[in-house]
Amino acid sequence: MAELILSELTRMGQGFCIIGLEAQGPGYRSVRPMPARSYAWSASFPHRRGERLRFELTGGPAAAPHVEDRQSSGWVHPAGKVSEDELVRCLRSAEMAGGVGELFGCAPNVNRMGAGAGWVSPQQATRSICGCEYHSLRFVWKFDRWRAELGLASGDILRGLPIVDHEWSRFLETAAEALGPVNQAQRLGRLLNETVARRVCEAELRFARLGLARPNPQQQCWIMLDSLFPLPRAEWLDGVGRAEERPAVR
Amino acid sequence: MTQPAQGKRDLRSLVEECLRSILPAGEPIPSADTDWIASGLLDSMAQVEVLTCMERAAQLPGVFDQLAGGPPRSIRAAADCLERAARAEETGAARRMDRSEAEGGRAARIAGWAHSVGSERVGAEAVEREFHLPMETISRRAGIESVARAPAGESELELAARAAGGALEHAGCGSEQVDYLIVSSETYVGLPSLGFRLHRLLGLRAECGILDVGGACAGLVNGLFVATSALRSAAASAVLVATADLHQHALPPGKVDGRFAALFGDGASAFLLTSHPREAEGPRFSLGEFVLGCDGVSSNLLSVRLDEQSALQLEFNGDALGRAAIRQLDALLRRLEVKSGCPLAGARQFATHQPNPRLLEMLSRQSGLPLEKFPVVCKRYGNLGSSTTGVALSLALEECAQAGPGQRGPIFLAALGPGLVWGGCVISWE
Repeated sequence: MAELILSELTRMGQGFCIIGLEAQGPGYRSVRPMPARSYAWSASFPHRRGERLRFELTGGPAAAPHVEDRQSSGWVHPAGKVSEDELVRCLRSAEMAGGVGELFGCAPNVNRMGAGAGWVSPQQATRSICGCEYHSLRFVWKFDRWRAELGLASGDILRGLPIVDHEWSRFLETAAEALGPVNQAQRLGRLLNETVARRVCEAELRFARLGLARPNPQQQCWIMLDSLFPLPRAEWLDGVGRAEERPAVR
Repeated sequence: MTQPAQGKRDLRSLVEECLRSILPAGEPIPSADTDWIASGLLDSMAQVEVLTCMERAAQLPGVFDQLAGGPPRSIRAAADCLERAARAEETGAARRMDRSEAEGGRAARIAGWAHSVGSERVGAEAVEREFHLPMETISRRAGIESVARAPAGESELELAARAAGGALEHAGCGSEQVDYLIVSSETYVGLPSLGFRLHRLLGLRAECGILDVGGACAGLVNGLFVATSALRSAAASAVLVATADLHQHALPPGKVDGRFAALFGDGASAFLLTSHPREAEGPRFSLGEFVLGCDGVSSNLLSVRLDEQSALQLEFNGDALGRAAIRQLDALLRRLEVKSGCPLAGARQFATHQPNPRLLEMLSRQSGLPLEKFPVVCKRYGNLGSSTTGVALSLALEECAQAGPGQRGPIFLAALGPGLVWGGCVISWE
């Protein structure tokens, strides 16, 4: 049995893809336990980020770039939980990159005429998850969903990152619901970029984990935002939507 | 680049071209009604890339946003959507054209220009001593040889007045002919505004309006944009745009980090813009279409604010800001190239913001543009804030005006301010 600290809980189809940190020497390494015949656990997966779980893992290292994959027949219930601060401390001693070229072992590609989303070739990438420091964050609405732009501490900018982090996805859904349907994208954009991004960037705990999607038919592994610290807080939405609900006073 | 108003077949070709740009070489283009996602041809990320490519190629930004039923997933659906939008765009453009013609089809030109920098030159070594910086911080790392300082008793007003007076004289324009005065300064603090004080000092008419515009180092472009709009809409016939920045008072030694404050000098610039009918004869510098924008992703690389005790608080990540600035200036120049149709290779001068000489050298290398086409400003005078681009433009116009007929090429004006905000246009000799 391997003890993992659950570090990523990302949305994948109807279920969740999870990653945990396994102690290795003085630091940690990332391990992605997967159920048999699927990449994702079902939507009923009951655990939260930071919990310590014991997994039954089988099989050796998987093929690049998803070298963190391990088959798992299940887990044993939590043996404790680490705080968000402690989790980020552990993540900083796992896979880390100074600039975009170090994230996955090769420089990402960007379609210059496209939306700026980055991808790597599965033949060139050597891993599929990595952490990095960032200094700025912006949310961008593109066609039908929110994406993130991260300004890394190195000065590199990653654009068009799909937000697959479960807690941030849920936060975006909650915020959208609170604002209602009228001009939702514009109003939510203002809330996210004027209030939420400011609070995030003021936090000392600024850390992101970027992951790679599975290769598509064009042999592209898209870069995704797997984790964004600090995690969203419910109080950032205090008061959102209430003004619109109040009847006008004449 | 494909124009918005185009036939159905062209749009379908455009859609196929964008689709081809993301598919592996040799992969056949699917039939018009094949669902890209359901057929497994594209994943949702690739779909967004392809659709964005179409928006850009058709010059119809946001056309696929918030469509009932979601963004298109087939060639026919995408081409139909583009066609509807192109038709709507064509109708709108025709209306705008009618209005413009009714107003006389006016354009904006620069009739006069001048600049004024602080008359004292302080060498880099002396600046380093003043700000208690290690030797060569300013000279070697930033590449600044000296900074311009206004003598004691001079303020933004005197600098601005000298530049504005020069621009009016150059244009042969009396102060009574000016319809609007637009002023930008990143250092002036006080009420009434610098625009008001300059209006009084120049003796402009009571009917001459004043606009004080912000944007810090991008302030000049903001001012020129507003002036051009006023001239094109026939709201004015002559607009005076001025910048003035006196950093020695705003950023004295000990107030903020010397590695930031020591880079700045004092200067001002002014431009008289006039309108003229398109068919008017005679050569002139004409302002083209503007490109303005903002990328908040770098907003915390430079932040200056007053705290509760009215003390200046500075956040400055010089290395990251420098990299972001070079990237944005390069991107802005390329956008201007596309928008104006003037190739960068044919430019006579580049009047860009110059944070410091080293970054200018990096921009020149990265963009493949000759350094000698950038007027020397920050190396000799330091970073002049909103006046950096102004002094660079004034020098570029002078150089271009003195060149012989047939040698005058377009001037690319490109400015960046904290945020980052950016703006520019191409000024051509016609």
